[in-house]
Amino acid sequence: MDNQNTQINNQQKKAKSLFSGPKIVFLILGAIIVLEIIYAIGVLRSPAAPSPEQQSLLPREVALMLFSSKSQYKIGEVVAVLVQVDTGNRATEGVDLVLNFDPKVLEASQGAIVKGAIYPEYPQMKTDAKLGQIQISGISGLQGKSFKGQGNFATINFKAKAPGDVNLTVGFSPGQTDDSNVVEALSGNDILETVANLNLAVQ
Amino acid sequence: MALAVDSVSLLLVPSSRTIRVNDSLDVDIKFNASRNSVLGLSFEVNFDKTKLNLLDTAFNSRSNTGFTAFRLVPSNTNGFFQYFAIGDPANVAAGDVTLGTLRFKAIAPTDAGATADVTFPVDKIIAGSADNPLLPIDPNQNNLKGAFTITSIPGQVTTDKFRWAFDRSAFIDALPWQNYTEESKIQNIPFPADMPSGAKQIWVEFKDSTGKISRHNAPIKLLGAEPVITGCSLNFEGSNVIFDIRGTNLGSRGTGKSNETNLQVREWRDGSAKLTFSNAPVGQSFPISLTNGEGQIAEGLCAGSSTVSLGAKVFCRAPAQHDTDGVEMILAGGFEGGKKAKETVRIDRNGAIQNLTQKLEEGKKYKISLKAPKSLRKAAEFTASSGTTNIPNFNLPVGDIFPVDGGDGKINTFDKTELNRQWISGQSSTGRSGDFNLDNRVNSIDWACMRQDFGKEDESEPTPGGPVATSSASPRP
Repeated sequence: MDNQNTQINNQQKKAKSLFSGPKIVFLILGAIIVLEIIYAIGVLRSPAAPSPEQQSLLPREVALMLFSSKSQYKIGEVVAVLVQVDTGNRATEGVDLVLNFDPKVLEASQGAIVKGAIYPEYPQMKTDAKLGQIQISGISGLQGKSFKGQGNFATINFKAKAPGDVNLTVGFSPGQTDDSNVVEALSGNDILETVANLNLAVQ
Repeated sequence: MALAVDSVSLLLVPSSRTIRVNDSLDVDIKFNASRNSVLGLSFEVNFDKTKLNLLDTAFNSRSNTGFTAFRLVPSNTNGFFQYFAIGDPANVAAGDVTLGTLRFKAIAPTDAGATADVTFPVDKIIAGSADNPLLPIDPNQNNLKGAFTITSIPGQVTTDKFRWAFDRSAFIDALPWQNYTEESKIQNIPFPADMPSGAKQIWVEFKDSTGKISRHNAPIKLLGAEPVITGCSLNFEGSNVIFDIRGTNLGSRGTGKSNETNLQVREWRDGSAKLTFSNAPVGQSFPISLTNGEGQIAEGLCAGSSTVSLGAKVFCRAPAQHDTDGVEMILAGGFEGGKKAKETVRIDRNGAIQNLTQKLEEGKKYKISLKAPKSLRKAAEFTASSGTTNIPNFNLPVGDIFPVDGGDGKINTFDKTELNRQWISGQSSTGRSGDFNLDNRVNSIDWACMRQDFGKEDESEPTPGGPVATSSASPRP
């Protein structure tokens, strides 16, 4: 107990001496250097974040986004890729997804596509194993059930086939209607603004 | 005796919980400096953005925590939250200190046996003191992860009823409630025909399952009748072109454009406008766009020769990229002794009817019908004008592609089935009748075009003679 009290007293003395005289100047300088290091490391380790102007707690850009639960897979593993759509709160008549991948690294069978529930009808769910392309279209259907908001458009269960890095890219050029589209119900126009692609590795 | 260098730790509280979709979830972030005088702290919180949405963050002040946060970066797009703070060695708090709270909203249920995770990646936690710029982090802490189960069972308090009014004084007991049956319910609000245009309010009351009533209002601007261009003549003054435009509901002031060029306004009245195109390019037809003082837009065409224009959005609500050949046109004089003529014309990308051999008499009424390949027959009436006669808001219903040898005058399930059969979105394919916008794909864009007029049929061929009785071009929605 005495030993503990002595240790606490020593610490208090040390803390007191730290904040008196010229030592405080060095302490502040030290703090600034530490903060600079922390900030620099933090920034360098951060993912490529969008600029503050682009960041929003409620993203409203019309987007098609790809997700997977991890970034590295072993040969033979199932690579489940979730395709999400965000319509930016605009009612939509349908979505066309054209997804390209390296068929040497990933394999997709005809049954690999699991349709989402945001549209009542999926007139196209096609895989081209040779070309490395997935084509999925979901539409409002005859009931006219348009979709707005954020939702799961489809899931694609690839199989890791061979080692290598693979980029899954959503075919998209702004304003073009012959690639991936998000079609607004009101105007009939393609309103897709941005896509989030996915990079994976098979080991 | 030197101070011991212990590992610092971050904790999530709670680290597990079961919530419902649409529920909010508050997660406290706690920090334990373990006797270190931490001068700087940064970390990142990763969360499952497919299941959780970060709604808000609240961080405590330096006096409570010993830290002043100078940079907070939330991102629902990337599913992370970054925290950067300066520590105050004179105010080192002991034990677990609550730095702040992240408020999430559960947006989707988790799969059976799975959880929506919130984690601190260990390699993104950086804490430093004057003695030790990189303090050790214990990677074996079991509180570095929060695992939350989200069920699809709806919350207990729901919005059950709603009612609306133009004036809040109308919210009396006698005003009936309507059932609130779906989230983001779309309600048509009919405005009385005699309601003057201008600034208005729409008031809504919601009643939840506990009987609690909340009231909201939204300001709107009620616009008057849409402006239309009915005719246009053009004259030349040196290198300038003068447009003499006739129309309705143009208002008392406005602006005009031809493509991207601003036109100079010479005169502006409710029924006419005169504008100048300075140093106009050589050409026989000019698309015209007029915007009245309310911001409403009327589009039309002004051509050098006498012609009829339907506007540029004849097909699929979008400006055409191509001329359309093989359009069957029937023109009937809607006056005593008027005659009926049938001919095949072209509709150019500006919406002007080309190859028109019939001569129109200015001021006389006519009935016209047009039927393009893959479209239904649509009829309208108009009064011939000098120069270019504009028929406003004329859209041909597109989508009659079955039977494949020319359609049957209806857009119905057979056409939809044929569209599905032809569907191709990833690769180029020419010559498919379902490719309405001619981009070599049959995809959702073409479906949106067909869907607009699904269930419609050919309108009747116009008959000559007055009075005019056929349907007219419908106003734009």
